[in-house]
Amino acid sequence: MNEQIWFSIKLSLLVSALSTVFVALLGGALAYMLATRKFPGKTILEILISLPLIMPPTVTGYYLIMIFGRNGFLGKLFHEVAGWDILFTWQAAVMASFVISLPLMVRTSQAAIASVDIAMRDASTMLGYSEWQTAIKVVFPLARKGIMAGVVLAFARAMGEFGATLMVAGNIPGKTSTMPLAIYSYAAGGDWEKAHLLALLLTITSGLFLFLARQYESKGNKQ
Amino acid sequence: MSLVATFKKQWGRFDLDISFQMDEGLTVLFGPSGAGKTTTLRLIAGLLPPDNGHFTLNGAVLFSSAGGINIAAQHRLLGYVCQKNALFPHMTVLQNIMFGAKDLPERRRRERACELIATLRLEGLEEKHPDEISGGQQQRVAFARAIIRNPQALLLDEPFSSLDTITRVKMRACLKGVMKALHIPVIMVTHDIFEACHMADRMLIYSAGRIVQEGTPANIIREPATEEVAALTSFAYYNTVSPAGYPD
Repeated sequence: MNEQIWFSIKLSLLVSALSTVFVALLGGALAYMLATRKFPGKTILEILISLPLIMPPTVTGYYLIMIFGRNGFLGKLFHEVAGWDILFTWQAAVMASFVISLPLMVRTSQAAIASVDIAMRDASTMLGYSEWQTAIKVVFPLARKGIMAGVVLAFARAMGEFGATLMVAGNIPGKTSTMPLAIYSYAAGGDWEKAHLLALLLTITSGLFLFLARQYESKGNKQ
Repeated sequence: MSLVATFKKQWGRFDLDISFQMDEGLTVLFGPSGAGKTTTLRLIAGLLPPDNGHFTLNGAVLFSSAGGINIAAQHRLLGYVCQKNALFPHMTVLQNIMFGAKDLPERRRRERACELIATLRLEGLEEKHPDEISGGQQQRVAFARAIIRNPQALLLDEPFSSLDTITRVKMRACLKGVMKALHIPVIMVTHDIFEACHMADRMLIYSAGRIVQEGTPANIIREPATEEVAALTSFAYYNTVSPAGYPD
């Protein structure tokens, strides 16, 4: 296996792992808030989070460029404060994977958290635990199967992310070329052997993660 | 030990307007479904905010709309057992009980939990999970968890409704014994007039968000204040085992 393939595999794993850590932290908190609270604008927030699920990833990538590009609101701020441009770096690939896989985590976890009987939360509150303590000690453990399914799906989605990553990180060999982007390059260049190998690896990985997610979900349903 | 409360709560078309004082002993809230009994417990617990009112426990103000005071539910030091018992399925019996004493050091929590396990005859079940024990045992674990932190009052929302008749009778006796030792106000909601009469030192009869009569079970059964109260308690009246009241 040549160095370029190894780089793509390692980069995909790094991008997916980092993106999944952020998705798990922010997605878990968002899922908890959406499952347990009523607040103005909740439906709009749910729609915004879910949009990347149905929008073409290139459109999501386009919006990320609008926000994080040199002339974008946050991109300009980062450039002026830190002199740093995120676009066309491997960190941009993390950002794209994060935005694309966040709805999978939020929707799966939100359903799991909402299914925890409110009597459990009341019982914990009446035993002297704050909402935060109740979430950590009671709600998340009881919803863990659904949350884990969300994490696994988010990781699998991040591994396969292509469109938004291409828009914001480009396809720079040895810098931002993740496995899906490398497959595209090899296929476009007629290097089918390498394209086959990476496609097979991604297919096996995705299948494995879907199997894991189903295991977690079915265990969660039995709970 | 005393609990004094005045609550007003409007909820859709439901309108609750109640005032009561409770001392040590068991007070039963009795009345038809939707009369406001469970809402009263949730208001006392702090799980639901009243629109107006005042609530003190042993002289300490826990809620006062006029004074802008509303002590959060987790700081009220009240025991609460609901119909579903709400034991945490991911914890063992011992862990569930110990969970109720978060402010005690680990060793003391374990000792106190073991004392309650012995008192409530739950020995041998310490390492079992809630789905591995019977309904009556689950309810005793829920009591143990509720009283381990020495609450200043105990709130019971239809605690026996999911149990079969024989287990209910056993649980009533068990609970009465435990409560006598607590010396705190205990408030219990029930739809079962026999349970109410057997358990209560005092009863509050609810109707459409109001307390329409209060007194001892024997007095209420003998002298119902309204036709509705008479209808609610008539079954007990015609089946009274002792004209003077009900045995323990």
